[in-house]
Amino acid sequence: MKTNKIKRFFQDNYIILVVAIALIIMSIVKKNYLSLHNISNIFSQVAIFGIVASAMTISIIGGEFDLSVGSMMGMISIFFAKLVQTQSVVTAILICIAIGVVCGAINGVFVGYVHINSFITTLSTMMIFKGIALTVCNSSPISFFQESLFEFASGTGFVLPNTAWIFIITLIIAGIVLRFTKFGRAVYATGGSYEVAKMAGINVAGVKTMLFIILGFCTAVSSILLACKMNSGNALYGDTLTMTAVTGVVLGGTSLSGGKGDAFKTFWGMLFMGILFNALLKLQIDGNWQNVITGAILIAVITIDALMQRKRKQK
Amino acid sequence: MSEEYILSMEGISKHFGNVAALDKVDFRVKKGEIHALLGENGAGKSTLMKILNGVHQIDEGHIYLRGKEVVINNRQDAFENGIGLVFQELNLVPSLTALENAFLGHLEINSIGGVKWKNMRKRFVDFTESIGLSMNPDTPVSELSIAQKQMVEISRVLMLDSEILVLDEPTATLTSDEINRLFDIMEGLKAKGITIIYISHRLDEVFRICDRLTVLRDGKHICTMDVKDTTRPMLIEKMVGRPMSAEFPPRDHQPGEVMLEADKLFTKDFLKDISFNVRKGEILGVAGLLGSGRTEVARALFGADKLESGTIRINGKIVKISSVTDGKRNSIALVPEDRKEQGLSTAFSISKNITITDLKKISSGIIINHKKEEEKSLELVKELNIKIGSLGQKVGELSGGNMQKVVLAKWLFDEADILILDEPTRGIDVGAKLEIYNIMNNLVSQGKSVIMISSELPEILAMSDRIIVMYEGKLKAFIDNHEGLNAEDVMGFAIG
Repeated sequence: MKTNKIKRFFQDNYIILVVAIALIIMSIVKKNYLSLHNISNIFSQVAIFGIVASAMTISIIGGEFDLSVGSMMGMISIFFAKLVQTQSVVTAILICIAIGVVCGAINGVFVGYVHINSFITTLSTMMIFKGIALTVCNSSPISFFQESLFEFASGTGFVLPNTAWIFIITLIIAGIVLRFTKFGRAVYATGGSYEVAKMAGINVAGVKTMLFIILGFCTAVSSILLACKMNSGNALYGDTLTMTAVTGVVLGGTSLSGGKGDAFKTFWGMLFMGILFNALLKLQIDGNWQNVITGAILIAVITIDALMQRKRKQK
Repeated sequence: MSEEYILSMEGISKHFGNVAALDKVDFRVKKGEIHALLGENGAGKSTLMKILNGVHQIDEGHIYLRGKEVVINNRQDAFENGIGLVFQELNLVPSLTALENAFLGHLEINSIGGVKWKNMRKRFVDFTESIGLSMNPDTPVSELSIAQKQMVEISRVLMLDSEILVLDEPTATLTSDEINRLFDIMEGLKAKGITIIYISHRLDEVFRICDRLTVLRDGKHICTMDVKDTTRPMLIEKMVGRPMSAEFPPRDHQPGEVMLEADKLFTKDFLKDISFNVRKGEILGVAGLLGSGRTEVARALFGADKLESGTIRINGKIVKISSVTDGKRNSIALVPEDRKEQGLSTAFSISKNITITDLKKISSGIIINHKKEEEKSLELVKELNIKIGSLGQKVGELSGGNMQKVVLAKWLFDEADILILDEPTRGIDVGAKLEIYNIMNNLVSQGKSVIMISSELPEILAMSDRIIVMYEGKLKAFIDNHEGLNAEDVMGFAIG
């Protein structure tokens, strides 16, 4: 019975084995791979994007995904870089978070209440955010320097980088929300079967809107962190965000068809992405390969998921 | 093997894990007969038919067709052996037309790869006409009625020259008119020498249309006999395994004051001038043909569809119901017709399905108390006698009867006072039906109101205190279910 349980756990969370294998391979190939310094590096590769991946986990379970987070990130980083030079840090942060929430709410209302599918909605807003960002910054990065912010965003307070802790805390919150709250249950129900959830009296439109608001909020947080870490706002910041976050979530084992998955899985999925990016760096492979590999992983994972589902159905 | 059997399945056993779904079952069908395959849910009927169709492989036993042993490993094998199945869940592509669906996977192609639509259209029209069907081949399947969809499936199967046609609960979703037409077609097919295996829970149909029957129970073969040699009580006893005193419990309701009153309800393009009321402690039957507006009345009351005008009063007070949330707030529950699409999240566990209607009850603040959730759902599982493995089990794994009980449990958990049940016993076996009726009577005795929509007139007549009959979006009759009322009277209203 017990071995059965363990077996099922790893069947469900095969990603942990994948991460373990990846770590073993890399520590054979590269000396000192598992040093604290390098582990910190791995985390800082994906921590900031990971905050968005936490929110993406909730929204994918709720049956929706968001293509606009990438350009939203660029846009918010630009706004932050502009604001922080004229306003107090707190004001700048609050305004940027408000921008993220409003952008998310716009996506959410179109998907939830107007019933336009999330692919089209967020594809459109992706263009809009990008356009706004490039207009505001006149197509060039905006530099600023704020010492305390820089130190926080790039520093290591306790063992791991600060951003890694924020990532982990966001994931834990996402996990708790999903597993223990009424909203979380409503997310699973809506993503699993929209009609059933609606007929059970769940405010499905509200749930869908909320998914995007959470995404907007988390994107704002990570945009601010990234801007502070890089000392600049840049319209191109989030270019690989959407793909990385979605790949991390799906690789972790949360199904794109909705209704299944959890935040714990996303931790491992994003960790794998970190190991991968770090390996490319270590092995001195051209950075552009990152995109090729991310894309290939996503389609491979989705293919495997589809094949497994088909097999399960045949049983 | 004797010559007279076109199909003979001998000593078939099939296990799923440790469970024997079929245990040395013999099933023999004569050429050109309509053979009923009977049994409660879980008796093994579907498994047996899935074996015949190559979906499952047998552990033990032999299949003989026309005296020769065959091995059926997949659907293709079944089709090549002239076996055609029409499942309860129809396998059609909604966006394609009837014609396109009928030839899906078997398109006629000319030498350069073009599709011979003209040929196929002619074949389709000829065929449908030959079985007395008029259907526009260019209508998208999504616009067809369930009966018409079924005809598309049957046509598809038969145009592949199937000699054995398996119909799995074909009448479950049909109105009596449509059933009559289906039976005419079945008679016609029989006259053409086609053998039909007929699965149904409706015994009156078996007596009407079938020649012989086989009863399965708990994966075992119980008996095979001529229909004319048996009686209804005898069959029920064979299926259930014990004598059944009655199909319906006695009706002993004590209706009180009016609970809900609908006054001149109109919806955008369908319902017209619907007025009726339902009292506390009463079962109100809603009869009518499929598409007559029965379900629409339920959806409008519940808030799933918007009203254009009209008022709804609950306990004498006017209430505004424009969304499901409003319906719920006013203590209305709708147990929908389509269990799998609207009633249950099949991938969710049993307890999660039950508690979704009122998460507040199992939460403190925004946090769900998982222990409380288990306790509360277990109470209902016991109360309704739902047979489950564990509360964490996925609802999709349950039998139809138990699934329906979970849907009921879901709305009992919500403690609604007005329960609208849309086809509560569709596709459920005799034993489970009786249990559902008892649950309904129990609810009514607690002073709740039940509105029961049903296509089965015996059920309407046995259970309801009053009856409304719908016809083309209008309320045709609102009558007391007095002693002398019979099915013909109600049908008279239902057909206009």
